[in-house]
Amino acid sequence: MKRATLARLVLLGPPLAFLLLTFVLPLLRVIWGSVFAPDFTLEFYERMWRTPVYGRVFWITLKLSFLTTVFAALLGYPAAYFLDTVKPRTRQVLLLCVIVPFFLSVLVRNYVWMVLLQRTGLVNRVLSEWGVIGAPLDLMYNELGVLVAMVNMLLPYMIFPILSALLAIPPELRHASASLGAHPAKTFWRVTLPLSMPGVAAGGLLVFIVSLGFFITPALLGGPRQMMVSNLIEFSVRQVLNWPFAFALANTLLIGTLLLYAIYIRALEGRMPRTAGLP
Amino acid sequence: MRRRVIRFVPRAALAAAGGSVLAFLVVPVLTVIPMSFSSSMTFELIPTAPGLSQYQRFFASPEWMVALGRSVQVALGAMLVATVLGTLAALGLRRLATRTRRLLEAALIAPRIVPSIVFAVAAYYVFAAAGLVGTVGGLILAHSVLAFPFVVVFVGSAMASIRRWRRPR
Repeated sequence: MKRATLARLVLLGPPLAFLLLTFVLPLLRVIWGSVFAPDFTLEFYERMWRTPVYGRVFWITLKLSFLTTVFAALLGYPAAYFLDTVKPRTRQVLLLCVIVPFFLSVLVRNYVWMVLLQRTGLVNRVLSEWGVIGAPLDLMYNELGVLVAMVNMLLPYMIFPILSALLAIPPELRHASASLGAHPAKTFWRVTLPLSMPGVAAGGLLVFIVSLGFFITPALLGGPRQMMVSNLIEFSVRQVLNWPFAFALANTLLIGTLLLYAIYIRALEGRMPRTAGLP
Repeated sequence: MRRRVIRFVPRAALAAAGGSVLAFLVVPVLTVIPMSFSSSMTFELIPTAPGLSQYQRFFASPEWMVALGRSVQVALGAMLVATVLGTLAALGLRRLATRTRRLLEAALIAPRIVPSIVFAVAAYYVFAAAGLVGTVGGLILAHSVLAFPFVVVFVGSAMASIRRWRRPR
């Protein structure tokens, strides 16, 4: 065996073997379990497909993920654009605002949102003290609460790709546009925005993919009408102990996620910095 | 070098918009700190009677201490497994052709993409058969899978910044 091949084998062998056993094998078991119970059957997929309630859960999942992506883009772009215009030192400090929340557990961050959004929570108290509202608003156990928390948790996935796309634009291009007489608004519209679109696309796809699998946020901040596929899977396993049906749901979610991930990888191949996927 | 970027909105408006988004990200997280010094059992942002009673309750409780110990155990174990395996993978990826490397890297990052509940259900089922459910070892294994991509990405980008040296033939 050539030395180079041996080196690759020694280096990649253990991690691949580890992932195969602890990650790939369990997922294959899910796929297998969704169609063999114990004989081959498509009964669970049929039930998932035929029952309107389950269709609704998939629809809600897609809708919440889409809305999260749109709001994350609308909020993330100005933030990334602002970070692009400040001095590098300032940027490093400000980027801490984006990175620090990542160090906290998702569970803790969801609890924080519960504290802020409940009827006696901080937001309601401040608004009523200022006389903005008479009675407390329902800010959680509904779509609003889920969206606020999801956007909050997924914004970094949007900001990082947009920022790296913006930083990759040579400043000369914008200076050239300005020196040729373009109004700054036109420069933004014709130069900056188009050149940063791959960042928006990467961030958007990533936010959407991660949104699809959200579990804790809809469970804690949503109501019964915000049940997402992940929650339905947990419900099938914990409450009704219907494993094959949970497997069918999990497999559907898995395939959808992996398809979108494949599109993400292919579309952005070589166009984004390699860390874009992981803030 | 200082980047001078042409802006189309006034600096103040941009700073206000960008700054509010950054505040939306970080302020909710920071509210945890003052709230932890509250002595009442309900949520207060500014404690009416600040004190360390919650901390006393936490450190005096045997149950919480067991949980804390378990968290540390799982974190240390996952750190060890994920760092060793992730570094090996990052070193190995460098020795592959660009196309193969991109594909394999995408596959190695997949644990962060697959919905957590899907992995949890899958791991539960297979780990149960191996007697790993309800053990610290099982938790370490599952968390190593989730932490592994971070190591691959961070070690990989750290190495990409090292100038490629030529090996003597």
